[in-house]
Amino acid sequence: MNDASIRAMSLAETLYKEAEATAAEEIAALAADLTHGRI
Amino acid sequence: MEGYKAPEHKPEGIGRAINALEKALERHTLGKEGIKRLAASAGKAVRYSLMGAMFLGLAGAGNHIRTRYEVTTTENGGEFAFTHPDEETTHLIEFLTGREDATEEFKLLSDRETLRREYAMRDYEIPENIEHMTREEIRAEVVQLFEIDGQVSAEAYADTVLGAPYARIAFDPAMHRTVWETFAENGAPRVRLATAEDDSLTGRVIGNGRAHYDPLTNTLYINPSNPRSHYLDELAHARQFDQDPAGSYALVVKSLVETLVDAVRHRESLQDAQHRQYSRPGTLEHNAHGSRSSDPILTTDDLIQNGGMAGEIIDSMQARYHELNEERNGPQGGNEE
Repeated sequence: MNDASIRAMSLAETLYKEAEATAAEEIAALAADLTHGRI
Repeated sequence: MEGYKAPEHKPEGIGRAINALEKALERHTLGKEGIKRLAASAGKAVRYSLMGAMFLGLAGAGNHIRTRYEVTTTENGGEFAFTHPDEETTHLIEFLTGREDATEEFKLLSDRETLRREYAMRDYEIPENIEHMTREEIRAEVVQLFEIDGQVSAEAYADTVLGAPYARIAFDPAMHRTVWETFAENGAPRVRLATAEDDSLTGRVIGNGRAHYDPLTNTLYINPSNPRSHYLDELAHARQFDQDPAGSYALVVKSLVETLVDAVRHRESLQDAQHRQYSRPGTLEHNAHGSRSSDPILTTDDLIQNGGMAGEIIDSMQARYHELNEERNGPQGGNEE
């Protein structure tokens, strides 16, 4: 695998992780707020 | 089974978070503010994912040709032998065709998957130490579960259940050659076992431990629970990328975005959202497997029809198998015994 492919894959992986982590954190917070009647 | 309770985990991963939200929604209403917050999260996730998918597509389409492998064929007095550059792949194909026994590692992973499934069927928590258990310890757990069920001859039943995935099938030279040739014709991907510990990007999106094909490394992952069926199913994806890498990557990007949008829209886990792809015409999964989940069995007589590209592979295997039998036995010989 060449360097450009490895860098692109690594960037893609970082972006997916970021997408997943951000969405997970916000949705988990929303679930907690709902459960505890904060919204 | 209190002893099997795993410690409480902080929600991690979008699937878990969505499940938590789903539970909360059973008792509470989302309201305007909740909907606004959910839409904002989904928007961010989709933006990041689209950017990720773009890079993934660029890397993958350029990389695919570099990861095509060549199968080496040797003939000695009518006996054919095949090797893949990757030793583990060679062994797994030899196991699938009944030429070799499963390795200890295969048996351990398979036993672990069986135990996971048995726990899941009873809604028990999976113990954290499952990855460190020996085959003997796993067997003892399975026997205990069957005893709790009131199963007569729990030990013998456990051995049957545990041993089924790695039972060696009868070796048939024509089928062996057919499988290897078909494998070589479809890009000869590396073959690996998919396990619940798989932390790859694809593994996390589709669900750890599920069989899948990773086009970036041209690697086909099969779960030890049903290796022959998974092999054929996933070879269909290898065929898609071998025939049309760029078009297939475009479908991957579309599928990732659709899956994420579906997960949020239907308030379900990523894995459940990904399952929708199988019944949606035009998707990578639908093109590969057809509209139903296949269960082909790779034995001499049991090849059955399937939809999509897996069906094309099976058709071509059947034709080649009969051709080889005719070469060996003459036109009337066939496969009959």
